[in-house]
Amino acid sequence: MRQNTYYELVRDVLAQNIASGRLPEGTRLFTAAVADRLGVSRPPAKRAMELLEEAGLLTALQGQGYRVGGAGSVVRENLHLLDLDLSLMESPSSTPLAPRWGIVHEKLKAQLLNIIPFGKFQISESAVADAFGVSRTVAHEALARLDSEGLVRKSRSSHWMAGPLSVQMLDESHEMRILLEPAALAQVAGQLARAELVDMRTALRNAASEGPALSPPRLAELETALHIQCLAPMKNRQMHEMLMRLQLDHVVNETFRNHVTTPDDRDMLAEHVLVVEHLLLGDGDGAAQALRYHLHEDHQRTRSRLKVLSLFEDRQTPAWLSALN
Amino acid sequence: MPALRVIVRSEMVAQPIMERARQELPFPIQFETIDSLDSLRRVVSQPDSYDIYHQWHTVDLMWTARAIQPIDLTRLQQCDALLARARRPLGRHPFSGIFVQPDGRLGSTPSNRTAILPITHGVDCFGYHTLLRERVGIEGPESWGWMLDPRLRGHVALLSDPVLGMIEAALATEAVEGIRFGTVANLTIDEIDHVVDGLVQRKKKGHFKGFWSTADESERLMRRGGVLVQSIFGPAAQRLRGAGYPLVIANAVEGGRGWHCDLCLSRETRDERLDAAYAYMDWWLSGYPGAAVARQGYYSILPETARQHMSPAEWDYWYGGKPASEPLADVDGNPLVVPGQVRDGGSYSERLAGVRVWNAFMDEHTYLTHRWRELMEA
Repeated sequence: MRQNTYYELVRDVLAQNIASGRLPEGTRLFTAAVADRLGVSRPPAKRAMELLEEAGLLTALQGQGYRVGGAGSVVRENLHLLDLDLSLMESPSSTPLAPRWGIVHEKLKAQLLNIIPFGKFQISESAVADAFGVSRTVAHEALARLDSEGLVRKSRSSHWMAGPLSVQMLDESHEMRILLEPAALAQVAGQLARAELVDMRTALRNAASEGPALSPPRLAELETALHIQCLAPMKNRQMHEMLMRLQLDHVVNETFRNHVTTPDDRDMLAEHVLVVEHLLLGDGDGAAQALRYHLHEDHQRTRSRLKVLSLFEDRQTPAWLSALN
Repeated sequence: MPALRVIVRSEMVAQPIMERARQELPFPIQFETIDSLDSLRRVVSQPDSYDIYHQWHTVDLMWTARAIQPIDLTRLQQCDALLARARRPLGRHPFSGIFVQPDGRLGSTPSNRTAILPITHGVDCFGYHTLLRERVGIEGPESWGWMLDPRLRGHVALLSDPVLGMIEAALATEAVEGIRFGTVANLTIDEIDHVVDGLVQRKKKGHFKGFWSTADESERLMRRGGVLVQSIFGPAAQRLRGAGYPLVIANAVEGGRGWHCDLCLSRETRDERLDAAYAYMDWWLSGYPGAAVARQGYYSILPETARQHMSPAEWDYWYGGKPASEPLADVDGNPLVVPGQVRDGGSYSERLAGVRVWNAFMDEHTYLTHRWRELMEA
């Protein structure tokens, strides 16, 4: 069974243990105790048990708690003494769920970035919780994380707000990025595999021969090679994380392609080639300089594209967002 | 021959000009009038739906979107005159940043290819009722600060268009608060907030009588709404005066808001339609259209060609800033100027020298639009 949300995972773990008899009929289940035994917070445990009751696997007790199975006598059990099978919780398919706010944060961020070029939005914390099937606490945590990244903020009336993606935001990210990314590239230049660099150069040359405009997957591939894969050997994780966060331009460029037109990518390709050629020569400083030039040029292109996007409105807004004005 | 498809704005291309173009050009022309931002959205995303677009202040957007193709000046009869005009130091603005450079970008160094063809330009300022002086005193220069002067509460109207409205509001804010923004035509987010916060506060106190989006609305606000001061476009000002309203077009001490209106060519236009498009561009620089727009108060990019289609009295009044020596008519042929009348702001060069800021689409347009809507709803 595929779980999309954390409470569904908890539900499945419990159901599996009931089916196998590891969680015997008649066991009394309290939210707090279940959450403690499974190492999760209370809201998903509570929601999971509500679902299991609906499915007929649990019966609600008067007062509080549930009984495993139908009506009948209740056994109080220290859940820690039961040998439950928690392998589902650790299976690779479930790892993206931990930490709980992590996945919500990633998805929220991706959706937000695609929509804020079009304007200003209010975010409902409870709608985020509903949409992602998490507790308010987790939704809040994810939003707080986006707040620290400067993507959302709290209004005076204490509502979460996002957007519009402004030229100022792009400028600020760019200002930091152009200091850090070339320096990072110079640091790792010696560690990059020659074969990979040759492949990068070939890919760039092939792309250039395909025509002035690149297909979105091809563009993503080339951008990832230079701006993500080349930086992967970085030792300073904090700086690496910061750099990944500063890369905002691709958001504008993708949206521009979707709403306006396919731009001429020849300048971008030529700039990439320049960086790769320096890396192939073993000239880290030259590569850094070429990257600085590329980042500057790309920033100018992104700025003007964002301005064109200001003419358009996006019609698909997720349920947890409401457009303001 | 398929019709040449042309998108225009109503204030920029009057009916008689369209009729004349249809008569004089040897191919059918399909004019479409779109006054809102819808025209620009269409121009940017559907270049196959038009051939010529009469644009203002959006050249960078159209170029970025690759909606237009470069105009080859050497195909135009007035090529030399245009390049000479572009090199003149005074009033060079319509030509700055429109030339295609060897690397394919736009710049100000003249070349044979441009993104747009400037045809018309002008300067706008606010207009006011002569009674206004009773409230602000007869001394003192005309100032954008009047738009926000508390003594005029309830008698002020603003443009509702965010692009032009914000520029005028910024000029007014500078004047009334004695501050200076970095670039009035490209405000930062903090500056936009500063201007809009001030406007919202004043709106709540009842400072503004209204916000207008069409020339008709601006006319009504002055004739019946008790508005004493507001921004105004030439045609509305002409009608108000024609009706005997004592309107003065200010020559603000801080300077005016300059604009230019230009032709641009869809990237999808080719073959017969492309030839027709060049013929249409030639026609705009041939004289009659320049003279016709002068009668609306606008200037041709090549005044000397327009002059050949104007009477000496018209030329002296509209370009020379001299008193009218005979009655003059507007673009529709209706009487407009009585003998002895003088154009506000003086001659062509005086008025152009008074431009403080040229219309522009700001970098933070999305933010600006949202704050402006907040103002409209406040």
